Amino acid sequence: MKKSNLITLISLIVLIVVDVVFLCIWLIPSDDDGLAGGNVSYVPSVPANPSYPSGNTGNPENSTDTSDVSEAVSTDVSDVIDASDAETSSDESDSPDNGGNNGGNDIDTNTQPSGDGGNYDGSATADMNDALFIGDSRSVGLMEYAPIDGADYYVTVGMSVYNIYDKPADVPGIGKVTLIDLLNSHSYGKIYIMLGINEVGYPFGSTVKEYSALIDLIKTYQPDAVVFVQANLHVSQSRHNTDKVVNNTNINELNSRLSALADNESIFYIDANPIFDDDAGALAGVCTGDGTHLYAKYYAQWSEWIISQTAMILGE
Amino acid sequence: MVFSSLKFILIFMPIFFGCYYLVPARFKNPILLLGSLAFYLVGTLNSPEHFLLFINSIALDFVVGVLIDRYRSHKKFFLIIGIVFHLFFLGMFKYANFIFGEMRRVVPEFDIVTNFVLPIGISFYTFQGISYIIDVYRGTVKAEKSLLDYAVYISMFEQLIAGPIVTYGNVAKELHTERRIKPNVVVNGFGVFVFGLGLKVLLANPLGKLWSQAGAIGYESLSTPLAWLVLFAYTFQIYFDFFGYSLMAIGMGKMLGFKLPKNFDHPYTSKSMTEFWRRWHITLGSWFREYVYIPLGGNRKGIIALIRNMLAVWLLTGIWHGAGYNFLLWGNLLFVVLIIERFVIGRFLNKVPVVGHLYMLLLIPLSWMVFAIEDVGQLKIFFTRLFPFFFGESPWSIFKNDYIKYLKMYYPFLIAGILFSTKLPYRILQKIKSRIVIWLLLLIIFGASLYCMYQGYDDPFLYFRF
Repeated sequence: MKKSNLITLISLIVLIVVDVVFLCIWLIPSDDDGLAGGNVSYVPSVPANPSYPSGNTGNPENSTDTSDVSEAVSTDVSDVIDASDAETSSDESDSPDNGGNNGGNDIDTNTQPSGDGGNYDGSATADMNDALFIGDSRSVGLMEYAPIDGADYYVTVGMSVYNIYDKPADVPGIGKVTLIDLLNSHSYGKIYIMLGINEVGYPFGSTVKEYSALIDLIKTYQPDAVVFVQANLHVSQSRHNTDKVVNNTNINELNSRLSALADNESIFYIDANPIFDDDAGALAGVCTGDGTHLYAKYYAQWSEWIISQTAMILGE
Repeated sequence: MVFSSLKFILIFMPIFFGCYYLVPARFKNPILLLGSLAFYLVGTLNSPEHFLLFINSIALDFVVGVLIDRYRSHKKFFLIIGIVFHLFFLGMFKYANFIFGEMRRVVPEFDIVTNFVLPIGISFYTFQGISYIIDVYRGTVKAEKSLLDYAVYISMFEQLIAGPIVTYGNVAKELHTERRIKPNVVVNGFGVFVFGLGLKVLLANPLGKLWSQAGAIGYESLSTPLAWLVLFAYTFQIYFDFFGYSLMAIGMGKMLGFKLPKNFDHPYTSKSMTEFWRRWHITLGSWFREYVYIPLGGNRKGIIALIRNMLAVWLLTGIWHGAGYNFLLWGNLLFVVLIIERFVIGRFLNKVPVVGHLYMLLLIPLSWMVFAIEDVGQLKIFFTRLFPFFFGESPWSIFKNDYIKYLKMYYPFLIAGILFSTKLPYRILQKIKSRIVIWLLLLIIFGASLYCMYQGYDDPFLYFRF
């Protein structure tokens, strides 16, 4: 009896010591443990019960997927950087949709993109005071987590080319207006559109037709504006595998049709996917918790990339 | 097939209960068994071995029970066989992936890769099986003579997949008598079912969405107020999810003519963690008390043995909920808190209810945080967002007033969550004497729940990960 009590006591003490040591290691912040907002070196695991915020099927990312993807990001990034080196000397014609240079660099080196992008250096200061963003939940994230000074955002969750005229949106700094009122009362030099993820269930032909009509409408009210058609960001591999509608096959198909709307004079097509894609061409697991939206901390890369792309295209 | 799905409510329930009420009393057990096996079969269509394991486990318990009864002198031998069987399969399906995965990480040469899928309800039916053979061993119940009746006890669909953990003694009487189905009891049971459905679909699911939103944003980008907001959302979600599910089970139990044990008793009104765990998942708590804590000696063998026994119970409670370091950490945390309460602050908390409630207001969400976030690194990030000042961080996010956005979207659910955590709404419901008013309320809840399910707002039940 005495002996077993002693053993219990000792094991208890050992346990408590282990607990204390564990807690100390866990709680004392270190330099490289991923606490800083912009740090991307760790592989985030997945929230306990991820589900698509708009209430569709939830597709939990599994950890295997995530770690595979994290490796893939670095590979992909070096490719992109190579491409950027090559591009420095090439001319404009092939570059607008071959982006990701700055952002890619950022993932690898964990620095701010603006400083080291070669030919994007000065241009990253492009004037965005006359910019307007139109888009769905992804653009809402862009507005919330990487707002660009002076730019306006006509963005709502669930926005599509089919419902964009239905009801007014709450534009920060302006208030509730319809798109037409906004275009009527303000003048914009650059208009960025990212729509399409909510439309992938519809026939591509009619979506593109509506999209094209939207551009025409914008051009009617803002004849001098340059329109940037943004490629829809991909979804993660696991969502791609399980979702019959919202998958990368459909997104790529739609994107390629949208890219045909560009005339490279006043309508340009830009594709941010290379920044966030893994090797398989899906949204990298490290960049997303729900398989569809970027983690908040990645929006800054996207918005800085938009600025540099704009500067590059308009600086010609 | 979850209870809160259109398939279950609009197809399974009408067909099954229709048959159940039409057949004469002596056929009710066979029909109940048939219906429950069909229910389980639908859930395991993709992995037939899970169904075989289930059948096998029922048969083994039955045989072990009979053998213990017949050969009392060798009862220990049979008991051990039964327990080893159960723990082996539970361990294999629930913990092998995790343990081997960790071993591979530590020892690179170790190359056993397992990819077991957890059979539905295994954590629950395993515990019921173990409780039965131990009860027979102890002589507190007589071994069941009829395989049919025993199979009905384990497989009854309403408690099969997510509890409550019913002991054989709870339902033995009803199993053997010809259950007379009284219309008013059936109607009452359906009311309980609808109420539970409402808690799950109308309250737990939307709040769960707010919690997943935090995961989509990434914990490092949450402002401190938003971090607390989503943590409270999770706190309410896990309660109404599980409570609602238990109510649905109890309601359907009534409709079948059984009286299932209560699983929740207003846990969020507790003044201490000790009290909380007497009110939360009551059937699990009593299982561990009955079959682990007391056999180890409970509190009768001195302080050190008491501490050891509590440690055993709470570490087991932790890993029963899942295989992962966070569950161990969670069980460990509960153990430490319960020990402190038992020896230091427990009496004070009970004497000064205000302090007790405030203490629990902080402790309940924090303990669920450890439960909810399975990755220890992420857990740390979330923790620093809750208490940024300790870590020299700013409490704000790039997105100014992010918490106001979500507060605007979710405040009705959060208020309802607070309200339904207190005893008030239940007292009001009991005070309403007019049956018409009650049925009107339930009709609204039922309609709204069906609508939300139809729209696809429902999440898979949280406890299905077991």
